[in-house]
Amino acid sequence: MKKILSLVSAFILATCSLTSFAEGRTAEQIYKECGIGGALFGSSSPLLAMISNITWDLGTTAATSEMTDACSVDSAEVAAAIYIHEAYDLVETDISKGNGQYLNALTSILSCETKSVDQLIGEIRTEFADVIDASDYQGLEKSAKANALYELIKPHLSSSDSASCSLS
Amino acid sequence: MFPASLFNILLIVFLVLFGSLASSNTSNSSLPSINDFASHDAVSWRRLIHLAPSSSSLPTPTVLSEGFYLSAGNLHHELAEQELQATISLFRDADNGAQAICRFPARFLWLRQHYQFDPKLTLKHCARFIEWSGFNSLDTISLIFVSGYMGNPASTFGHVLLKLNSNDGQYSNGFFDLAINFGARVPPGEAGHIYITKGLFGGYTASFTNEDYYRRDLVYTNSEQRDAVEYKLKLNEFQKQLLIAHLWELNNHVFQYYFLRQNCAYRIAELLELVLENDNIIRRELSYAPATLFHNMEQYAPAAIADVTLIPSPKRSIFARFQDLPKDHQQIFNQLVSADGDVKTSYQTLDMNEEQRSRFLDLLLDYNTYRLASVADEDKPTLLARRKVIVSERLRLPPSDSLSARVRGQFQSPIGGSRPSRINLSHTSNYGIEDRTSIAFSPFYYDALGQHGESGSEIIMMNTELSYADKGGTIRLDHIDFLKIQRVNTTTPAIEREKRFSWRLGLQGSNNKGCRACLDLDFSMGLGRAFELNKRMLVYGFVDALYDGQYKEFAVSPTVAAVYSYRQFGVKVDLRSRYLVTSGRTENQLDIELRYRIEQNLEAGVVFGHGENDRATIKLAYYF
Repeated sequence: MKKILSLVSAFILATCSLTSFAEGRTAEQIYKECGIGGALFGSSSPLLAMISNITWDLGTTAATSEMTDACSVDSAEVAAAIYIHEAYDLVETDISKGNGQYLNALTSILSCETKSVDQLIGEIRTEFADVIDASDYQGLEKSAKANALYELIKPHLSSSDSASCSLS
Repeated sequence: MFPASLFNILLIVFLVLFGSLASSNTSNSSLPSINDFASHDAVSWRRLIHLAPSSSSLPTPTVLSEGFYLSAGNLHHELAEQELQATISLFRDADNGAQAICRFPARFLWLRQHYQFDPKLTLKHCARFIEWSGFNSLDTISLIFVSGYMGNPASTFGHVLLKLNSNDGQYSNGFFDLAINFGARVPPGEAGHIYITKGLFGGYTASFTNEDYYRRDLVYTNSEQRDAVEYKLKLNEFQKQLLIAHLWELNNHVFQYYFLRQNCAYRIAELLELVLENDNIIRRELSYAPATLFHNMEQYAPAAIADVTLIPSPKRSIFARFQDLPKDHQQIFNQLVSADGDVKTSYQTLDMNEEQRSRFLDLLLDYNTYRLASVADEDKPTLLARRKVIVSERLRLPPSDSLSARVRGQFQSPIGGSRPSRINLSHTSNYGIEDRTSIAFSPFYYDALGQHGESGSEIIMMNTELSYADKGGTIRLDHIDFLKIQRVNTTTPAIEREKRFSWRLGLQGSNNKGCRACLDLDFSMGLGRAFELNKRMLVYGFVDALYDGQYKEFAVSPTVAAVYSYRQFGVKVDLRSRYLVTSGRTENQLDIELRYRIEQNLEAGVVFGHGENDRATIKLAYYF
């Protein structure tokens, strides 16, 4: 098992390239290749097992640290993809309420170049309502829901050229 | 007489020899030495290289992995000196110095206060360190206490994290700030008894890890529903930089892990002792619980605490907001979340104005989120179906105007009570049968009457009692509570479907034969109910199933108890019966305890017992 994880980690390190990484990829793809949970456990995300008072053995921990560094959340797209995938339920809750810590964290990586945070939240909520009301939404796996939300958020993400909402 | 020319030659030879000798002496005396430092700086250097204190019986380096130490000495005074010289030599190496300071930025920061280095050496070129640490955007550092969690034995006594708060963190609630954690490296699937044994006796190594803070929040607050207390630290620029630079140095290095002392709290306390230059964060405690770190900070380094914030768990906040609802809204809420609740209720028909409906739906949604994180997979489809409807309805209404989710639900900080370890002196009279004087020690003692914020609940570990008979003068091992946990759950008014059961378990040994150190082991598990009559009074009842070690048979034991607290006073009345299944024997016992808290860590009390064990006890307990 350790060998497999080490090989997976090495493969990911070898192939992980920040700039080309997020282009054209879904949230799930980004998460699998950059998210810690994805690298350790494949497509599922057993954060409960991973993040607790105890940590895993040296090999995977080292790989985790390296990988987090290589797939740096300098890119708002990578940050958003991983964050939405891992915290989907809470992000969904806070978007619905229009307020909350998990929404605040998300808006901190959005662009406020042309719109205020409140305007952005309003737009996201309106678009998200359409996603929720889609007939197949309830039957979707969480990763698919996270993908849908990520695609909705993506056009609003900040970049190096745009003012992040964290500066407003 | 010597010819002048020969004299000149001898003089020249003498000067060359003497000169080189003097020169070499000068080179040797320019080697850095631990003796160059004032005593407190020598202590700081030893802390920086994690050398066990000189009074320790283990004068060896405590970082076990390769690459942290540059020299090979083992005795602590040699290693301190050799490590100092090796570090400075490396930093002054023309070819490797620049890279070396990136590997040991804390040593560089600290040593340049005392020694000269090439002015071109600067941490600004350490790109990976700068990026990882957020060195240039670090605002403050927080110490976070996470309350105990019964779902994991290692988490029962709480946990400690560090959080590196960035300037931008205020916009993201600090969710993308780095959280620093210290934990044991346990292989997956470890058996429980091995886990406990290795954890207690150093069978694991441990290291610091780091990730975005939101991942910790997802687990500790949203999944495990643990309260937290955040202590924002008041550190100057150098102290902050030294702390994060040292964390970088410790990245992926391992220590031996001991659950009772060299644990998460201890290792973080070492970091704080380093940057605060304070010897009192770790004192001579036999055990070091997470709460001990915070008690010591409050007592011995209060100036380093800028701010304290209570962070209630989502569950606590939800229950508090539920209590704020009008009674008719509570009934509607319970109907909607019950097993028979209609999945597709139209919330627009609720008799509420828009603001009330928004708050109501917010609470329903938060409760649904909380339930989703805690139920088994087979129960999720119904929750998800309801969730879709709630979310859809909520999105039609305007956003909430405040961060209501985490605001409600205040609680008493566990740090506000007594310290976790206890030593107890008592004298018991069995009314002429046998009077005994006892001393008991426990590394962790939170009992039902204790001031730890959870009235009625208990966590007691290794409470060991020795007693001395006034007549006869014999000393014996009287009693050991190996582990006693009592979890009292009160939810008043109750949210439908919430757990209302309290539970407890215990493993203890009692000396029933009057021998020196022979113990009969009892093991018990119980379920019960608890009711909070008002803020001061709690009543609860349990039914325990147990194995009675004295009679070597199984028993059933119902208990009813009441706990009353008012300021420094506390009273507990405990009535229990024990029915031994095989022999049919019944034992009844009534205990009444009165306790007075003299000061935060000192209590006096009396206990009257009647029944199987008639006795009167006076006691004095000191917490440390």
